[in-house]
Amino acid sequence: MADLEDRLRDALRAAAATVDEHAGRPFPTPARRAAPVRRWTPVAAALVVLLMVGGIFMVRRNDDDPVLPLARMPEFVVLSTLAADGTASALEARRTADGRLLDRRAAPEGTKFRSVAVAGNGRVVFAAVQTEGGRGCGFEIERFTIGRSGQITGGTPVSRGRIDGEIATEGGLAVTPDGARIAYSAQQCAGDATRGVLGVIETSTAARRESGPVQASLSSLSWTPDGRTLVYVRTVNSRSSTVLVADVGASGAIGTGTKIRTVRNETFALLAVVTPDRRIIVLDGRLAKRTETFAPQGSSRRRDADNSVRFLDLKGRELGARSVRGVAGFDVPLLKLDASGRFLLTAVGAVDLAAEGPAHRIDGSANDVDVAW
Amino acid sequence: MTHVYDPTPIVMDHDKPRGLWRNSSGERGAGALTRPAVPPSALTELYRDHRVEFVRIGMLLVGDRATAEDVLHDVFLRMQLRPPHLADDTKLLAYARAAILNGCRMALRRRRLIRRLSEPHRPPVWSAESAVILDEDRRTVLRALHRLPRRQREALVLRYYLELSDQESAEAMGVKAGTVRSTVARALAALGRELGEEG
Repeated sequence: MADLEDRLRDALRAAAATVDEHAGRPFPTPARRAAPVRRWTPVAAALVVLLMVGGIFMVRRNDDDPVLPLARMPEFVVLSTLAADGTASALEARRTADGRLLDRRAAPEGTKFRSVAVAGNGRVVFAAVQTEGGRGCGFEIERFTIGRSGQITGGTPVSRGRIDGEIATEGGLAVTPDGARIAYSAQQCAGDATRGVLGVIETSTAARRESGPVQASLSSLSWTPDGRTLVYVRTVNSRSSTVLVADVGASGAIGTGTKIRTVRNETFALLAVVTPDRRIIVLDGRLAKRTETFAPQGSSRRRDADNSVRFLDLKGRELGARSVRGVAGFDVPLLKLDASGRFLLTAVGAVDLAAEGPAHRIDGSANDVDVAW
Repeated sequence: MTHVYDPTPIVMDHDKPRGLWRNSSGERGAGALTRPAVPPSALTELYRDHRVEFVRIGMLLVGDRATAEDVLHDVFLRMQLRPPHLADDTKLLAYARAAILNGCRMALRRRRLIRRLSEPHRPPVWSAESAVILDEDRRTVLRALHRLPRRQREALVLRYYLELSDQESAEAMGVKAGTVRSTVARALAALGRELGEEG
């Protein structure tokens, strides 16, 4: 029993210590108001609650769909970008509402930012920094923080985050909402560059486990919130792509993937992302058109895209579809969910899965490599 | 016997000329308000000296700092709009703790209403920021604590984080000291079971 009490004390104190003594709100000051208004405040509050509850029911699309949580669109998007000449690389923070650039962090010389992933709070960012230009073949996963005003701070390497190989270009990095686990996909540099490995890093213990290599490229990684299931896409010979679901054990060991859906298409990537309620959203089509990711782009940005995403369960059974309409603001195949599971980030912008209507366009940079929120 | 105001300002109606009281034996009654209200300076001082403690307690009970700050904000607004009438100012800290607990209970009730209609809430104390600071064992303990009934969770936080005595915890929780002792014992046993340990 003494052990249990000690563990409890330790955990409580450690959690409490995360509250910074120096931060916090000032002493609250009540606003003056007329006495008769005070009597109506409880009535008004009750009306507001009723309206909120009514609003929750109104977002239901049909009786079978789960009601999506009351959630806000993430405030920031994080992009890894290239300069127009394909040389200088940077990490950018932009405001989702208007695409305004808030901060930019240049990559160190000889490296480039590639895949990015954002944890559930929308503020902790993990980015794969790829070494280039004859300095060896590998990448390092680094941790950044987005401040309240969108400023990018940090850049500390994740323990055991130095990995041989080349990070996958489309969704090669994924982090659980609580930041406990990072998944990555790496292609071999020398020899057979089509051989890929999947890896999992436990951020709290720095343990790292890998599975593979396999004769395929692995991309579009996403986690269920509990960090026990990893969804990804395996592409063979750039023609056939398959969505797979793999269990990840407590030790971080990645189980054999179960096939969910296979698409044969040379032009378009297959993208997939798992929702918090364990559905899989897949996208294959013009919105996921393969591009030369590291070559200057621009002319394709103004294309209108009208496509749809499909919803599957973990066994691959079709649950429904949703149209995605809008004008592309990003130049890369993109399909990422926010932590609430309500907002989908695509090449044409942010899609509110709880509402109809076109996507909210977010203007990206000149040459986007990867985007996350 | 000492007359102590029921430390739940949210349910009291200070507009009435009479107030509700509870003595140290647990008897309740009504009587005229004879004690002066706590002066604003006392509230300011209390906030300055104990703000961090209140936020931390709130965070341990509701799971996230933002909600804890909201609860603290509401409690101190209420105390300014309807100042408590206490036997002496030494009771103010206990009164405030009780109000914080009550505010956390209300926050959790509101959250349960939304949770029934939507995805389970994921308290940010287990979020990315905490994950890289708290190791797996601490997170496991906190998750198990979060699964306990509300009263047991309160009792454990007051005993093992604030190190309050049974009587002090009883004043904060609005129960008797004996109830605190039995609740702590049951809570530890339940926590042990959650963590897969012998009691």
